[in-house]
Amino acid sequence: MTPILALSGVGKRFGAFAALTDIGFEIGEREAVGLIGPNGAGKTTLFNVITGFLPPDAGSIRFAGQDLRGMPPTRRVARGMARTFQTAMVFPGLTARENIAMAVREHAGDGLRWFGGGRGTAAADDTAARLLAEAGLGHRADTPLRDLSHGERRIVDALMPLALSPRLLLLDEPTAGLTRAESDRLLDMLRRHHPGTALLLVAHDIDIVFGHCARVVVMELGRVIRVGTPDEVRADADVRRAYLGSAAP
Amino acid sequence: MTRAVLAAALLAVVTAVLADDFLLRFLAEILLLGIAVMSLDLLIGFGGLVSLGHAALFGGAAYAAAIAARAWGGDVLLMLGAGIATGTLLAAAMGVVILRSGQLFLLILTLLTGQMVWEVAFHWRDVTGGADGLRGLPALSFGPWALPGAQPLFLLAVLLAILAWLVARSYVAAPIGRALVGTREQPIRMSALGYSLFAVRFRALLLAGAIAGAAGALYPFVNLYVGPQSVHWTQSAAMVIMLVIGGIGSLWGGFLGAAVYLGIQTYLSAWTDRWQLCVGLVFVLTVLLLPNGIAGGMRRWRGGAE
Amino acid sequence: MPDLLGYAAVQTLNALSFSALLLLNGLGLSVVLSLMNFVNLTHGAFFLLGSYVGIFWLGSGAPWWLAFPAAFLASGLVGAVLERFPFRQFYAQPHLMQVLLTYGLSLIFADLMRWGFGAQILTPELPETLQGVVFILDMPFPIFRLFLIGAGVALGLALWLLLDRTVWGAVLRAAVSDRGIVETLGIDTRRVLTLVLVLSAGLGGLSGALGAGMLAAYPGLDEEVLLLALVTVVVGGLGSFGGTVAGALVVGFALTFSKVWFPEFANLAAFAVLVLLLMLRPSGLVAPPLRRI
Repeated sequence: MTPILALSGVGKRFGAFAALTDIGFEIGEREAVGLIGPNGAGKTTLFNVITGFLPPDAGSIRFAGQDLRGMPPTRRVARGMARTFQTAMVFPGLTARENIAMAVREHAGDGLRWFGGGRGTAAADDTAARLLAEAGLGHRADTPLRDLSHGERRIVDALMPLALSPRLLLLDEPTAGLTRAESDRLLDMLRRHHPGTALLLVAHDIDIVFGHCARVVVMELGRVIRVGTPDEVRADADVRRAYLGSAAP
Repeated sequence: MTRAVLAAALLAVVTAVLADDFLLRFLAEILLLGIAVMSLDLLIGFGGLVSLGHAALFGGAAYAAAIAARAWGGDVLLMLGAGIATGTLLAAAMGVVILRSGQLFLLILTLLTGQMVWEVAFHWRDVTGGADGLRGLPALSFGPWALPGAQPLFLLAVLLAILAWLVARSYVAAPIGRALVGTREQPIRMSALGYSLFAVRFRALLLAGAIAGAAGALYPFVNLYVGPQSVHWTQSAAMVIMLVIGGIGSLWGGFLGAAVYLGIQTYLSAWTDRWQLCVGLVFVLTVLLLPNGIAGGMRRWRGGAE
Repeated sequence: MPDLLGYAAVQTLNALSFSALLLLNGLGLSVVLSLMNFVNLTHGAFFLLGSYVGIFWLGSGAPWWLAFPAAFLASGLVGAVLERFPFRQFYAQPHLMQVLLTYGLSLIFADLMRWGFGAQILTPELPETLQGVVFILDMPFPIFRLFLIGAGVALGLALWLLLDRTVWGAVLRAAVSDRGIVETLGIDTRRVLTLVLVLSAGLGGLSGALGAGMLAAYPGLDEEVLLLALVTVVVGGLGSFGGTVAGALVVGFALTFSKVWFPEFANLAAFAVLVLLLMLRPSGLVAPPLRRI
């Protein structure tokens, strides 16, 4: 089966600084893959390169078998690739439902509609309500985001790309600032209600990554130093040195 | 809303009957500039796109209407058609140039592209009259009926203002308007959701150009004159300050700002030779004392009273 | 065809002298814009003030070469006053508010200068050393414009050394990227920003004094010069010295040669070229590589 995402030899430099060197790994359909590494390892840069916000200098990125070279971010979204950002990027003046509806409308082809409520416009509200209910935020659907707690805002932030029913969802630290219970609830919800969506998950809390991902990619200084199951990664000496610290069990 | 529109229409008819010619022309000028400022609000207030070239769209349409009127007569539909087409086309040309760069460059590029229109208006003497502008316009007409004098002009301006306000209001309430605000608040998120920033902003610019163009089409008939000053970037800056005085993001604030600014200008130029200095003071005092405009001030005042 | 060659040489020198002027004035605008993220539309007024100071100084009989430092000081002083109030409160404000404030101030200054210096066109009495022409391939060329080119190159080089090669320049660049860190080193960043604005205004005044010999001085010149400075900075790209140099050269040549070929629509033709350039390179000719997001 073709992997949903296949990277090979991906490189990115900023002037003299090599942010990414020879990155290569694959994500299978419906697979959840974790991406860990110390600060400055290049995780966010890799996200930007995969999603088209930064052009790579070298290597190839294939999505569902198709080369993405030169494709702008919006077209990648249309093909089923969605992402979050390190900081929550929400619309504080809009309600939770409207935030998510904004995402659905464009996906349904109604994002730039002026006259008449198209089918997409009506469906957007339903989809938004359903997603919020799944995430346990049904009761907050009509609250403006600025009145939600930090954790609730982060969850809405992750639901926005999910509303596009992507084939691959890239989550950049979606659990930052969430309690352990909230994080687990969010990721359980993603796997249970949206099994068709493959995940690439960056999180600071390694236990969350190990707990929810079948495979883990470890990066250090712009390179992939290990790819394996959580158990393999946990046992790897290089990983322990680079990331877990020698004192880790 | 229907009641508000009816009340405005009734008030307009009463005013048209009672007020003298000078006042009616002055009110028409306020309304027409107010429409243009409201369309600028779509860009600045809703899209976060600060333009210093809006007068080029408004004034360019005024020139187009004046030229068409001298050639084929002042039929209102012809005027509006010429104005809207010119405003939209100029906006499209401007959009292709400005929407590729970031915030700061966008501001400077609107100024630059706007000035290109001024260069044409100022130097293409055969068509635009150069520094003298165009005079000797025929009266407005509608089909076989002539519409001479200030009363029909004023009523047309009222009608246009109401229509433009309804159009702009429906736009910002629709998904496309929500998307415009989205691109202002979270542009990166919007493109990650699949929205094309260019498509969203370009549409807003086209609409703003069309509305400003419609208003510009009637503008030459206020003083039966159009000159290069109406497309100059200083006129664009005046529109921005009218918007700030009235209040950004409220749509109706544009009319208020136009009334206040034109009121001050008319009053001062009758009073002192140093009115340029006073206009400068208006700018400085507005941003120092009233950065949220009258609309913002009223909102805060009402919010505090409750 | 020696005539044509001479003509081309003279026009090239014309373009260079205009570019030198654009460079000095553009650098003044560019440092404030790229280092402080402050849009200063009063910059044209600094230029015109410098022109008037230069013209009156040259007419007064005092040593002529002091006219340029005098113009620098006069405009720099106005810049220092404006920096204390109200510019300082607007550094963190949106560009929209900065534009309105500084545009309003430029209207006030324009009117005050029209009041004080009159509305007629004033030209400076150049010292004898700078009067007259030299012959280049049999074509006459004003000595003053050669002086302009020399001054532009010398002062541009000095500024580049100051901003790029001295500790002061390093502090400045550091203060822009992270004020907090620089302040923990015991440096008062507010003073740094004041100095930048004074330098910028002074440069505007200095270019005004230099430019008076070429452009004269009259109400409205401030606005024309401001527009050209903005174009220079945008075409070159923000945040790099080389960008402003490139911008000044491109704008200088585009305007000079479009005046030769399309005298009536010179500005329009030049602007069209510049707009085209910007469509090909939306962030300017020399754009430093930036990390987005």
